Amino acid sequence: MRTKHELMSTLQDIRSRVGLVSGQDFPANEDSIRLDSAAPIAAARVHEVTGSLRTSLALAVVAKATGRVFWIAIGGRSRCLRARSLRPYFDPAHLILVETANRDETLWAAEQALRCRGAGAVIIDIDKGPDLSESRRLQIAAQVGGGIGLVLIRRHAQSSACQTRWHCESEEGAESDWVWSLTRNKRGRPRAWFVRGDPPEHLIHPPDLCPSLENPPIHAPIRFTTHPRSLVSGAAA
Amino acid sequence: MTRKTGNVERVVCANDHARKARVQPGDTVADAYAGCPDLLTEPQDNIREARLLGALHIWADRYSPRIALDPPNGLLLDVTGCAHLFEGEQQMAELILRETEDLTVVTRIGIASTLRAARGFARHGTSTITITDPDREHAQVDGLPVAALDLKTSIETDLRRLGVTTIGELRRFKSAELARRFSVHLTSALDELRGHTHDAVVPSAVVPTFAANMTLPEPIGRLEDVTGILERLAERVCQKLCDKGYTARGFRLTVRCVDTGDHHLSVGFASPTRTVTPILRQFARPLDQLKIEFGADWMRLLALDTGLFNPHQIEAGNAAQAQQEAVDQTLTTLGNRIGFDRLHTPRPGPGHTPEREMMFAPAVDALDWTPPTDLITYPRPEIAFAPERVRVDSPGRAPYAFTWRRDSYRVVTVKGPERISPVNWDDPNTKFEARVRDYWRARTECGRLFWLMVFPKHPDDGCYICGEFLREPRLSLLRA
Repeated sequence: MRTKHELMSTLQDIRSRVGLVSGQDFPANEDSIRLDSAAPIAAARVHEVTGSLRTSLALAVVAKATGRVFWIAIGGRSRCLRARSLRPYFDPAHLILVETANRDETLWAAEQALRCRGAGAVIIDIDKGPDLSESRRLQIAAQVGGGIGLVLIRRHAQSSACQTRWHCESEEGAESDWVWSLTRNKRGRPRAWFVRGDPPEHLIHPPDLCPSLENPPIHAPIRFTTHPRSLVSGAAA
Repeated sequence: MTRKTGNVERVVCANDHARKARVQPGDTVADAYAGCPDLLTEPQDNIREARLLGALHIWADRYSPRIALDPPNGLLLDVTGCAHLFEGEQQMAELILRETEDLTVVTRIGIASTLRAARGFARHGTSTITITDPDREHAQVDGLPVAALDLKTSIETDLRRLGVTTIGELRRFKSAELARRFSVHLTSALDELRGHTHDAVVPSAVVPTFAANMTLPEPIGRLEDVTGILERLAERVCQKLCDKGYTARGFRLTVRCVDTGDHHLSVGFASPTRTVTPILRQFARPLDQLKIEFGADWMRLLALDTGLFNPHQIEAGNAAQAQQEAVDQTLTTLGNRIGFDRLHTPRPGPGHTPEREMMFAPAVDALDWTPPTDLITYPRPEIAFAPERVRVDSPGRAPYAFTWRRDSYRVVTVKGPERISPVNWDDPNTKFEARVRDYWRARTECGRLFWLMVFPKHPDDGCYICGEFLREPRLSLLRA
């Protein structure tokens, strides 16, 4: 039998592990405990983000990632990022911006970057979300490299093989800075977070959505070797 | 050799046969043809000539370790202490003459105790080889024409008007008078020519070339064959690089096809390399796209952008090193496909205005990040874009309501302004930089936080949207 004091300390411990800013509107119910273990933004997986403040989630994820960050976008779109303002999130010197010419090149570059073992996060800025086969290819690449793939979708998402899909908007009335709603989740329930980017030590403490980065990924990276010819001959046989 | 100056094609260089037919450098091509109908002319190609001079520079290394280029067509060799290796200056000059004849290069040689004198004898001497006698060098120098001083044409013409044709005739004048009349360049050139002031040969190091080529007895066209040849070339080039302790950042492969001529394929590398496998891997795609229809019979692999190898110990289990290697490999792959100029990394810019606060450096070989001194006292947005004009629905110092990209926004709170005044060296024609600007942080009813720009002195010029904050900037952040 635990005392009330012990229970309170356990609750405090959970809160700190989840990384919540105290005073945030977030009920400490059963779901919140699962947040830590379920790891909605898992490494070696590809996730999708829609909504007008999708960059906020990307920056929060990048802040937690270790290693270099590839930001892939068509033309000079990625040049809108301001390095000086990014410093509270992460060291902008680790950012590599890749300018591509079209959608196909963006997806190819994203695959190459995801395959890279030194890439902690790969942000793909794209108009229309990847479809089932495109996202599957990205997924395979992410499993090889072990980094987080984040697809920022400007227009609309398609049905895809992504692990989670998020919708990021601002909140009316401005109690919090962002509302992150998890609209699709392969390994858990959809839910929403009201997040406040409060910097006590000039840093942002979003909920710890990617704890598995420090531990080895839940799913061990799979090595894939593609043999298109053998596939064709196999089908013929 | 001819060159077009203004509207006229003129002869700039003529060989002995042409000179016999009274074709002189400076004649127009039409006059030259009138005097010699069988004349063969060719337009001057400065790039090829520079390459030839570079090649001769490498070749001349056998005579002296200190060589300077004297463009467009001269080499300066400091032969101090070298001549005895060739049994004397005369023998050395004759040897150089013989060897350059084998290279089908016409040479004139001057050896003297000062640089200018040697140049003057080589260019304006009476015979092919002129070697001065140290005892009567002044007398010999006095016989040189004034052109040996390498002065402006106007000064040369003025000297000729005074009746001065040789350098010795300049002794009639006091040097102070010469300096007053013709500028100090004349007197300093004279001093250097006579050895009164020091004028050393400033040697330039030969940039070593690492290349291998292969001529094939029969044209080849299959991809496997071409790759096989490339592998052998790469092995030879890498061996040369290793022998001299060099690495290369890029390689160029020239494939000479029987019918379509030379094809140049280039690859670059994010980190210096001298191993065969990555070269083959990066050339796989360009070679795959190359169309060889009737075969290629000559190939050359050239290392570009070479530098000394910087040896470092590879640490087993060093995560940062392994990460950097993986990233370099990815950058190489990306760069060779989409171009290295499209990989960037942000670096602090030279100013504090929104346009100058940051810049984008090439991701390959970017300098280290030096944190800028923070002159910016106002928060700047995470996302900034080129100013876009918005429709103001309800005007104010900052608008109360505006429409942007067909969406209407009602402003709840504004903070600011951050006022930026123009600097006097900015181009006054640029629309934004040359005006006083006010930047406002406006929170809209829907919760988005925009960065708006207005011109306080020109309120009629409307309102521009310049960026978006992802969250409310806290003041503690400014002391970062």
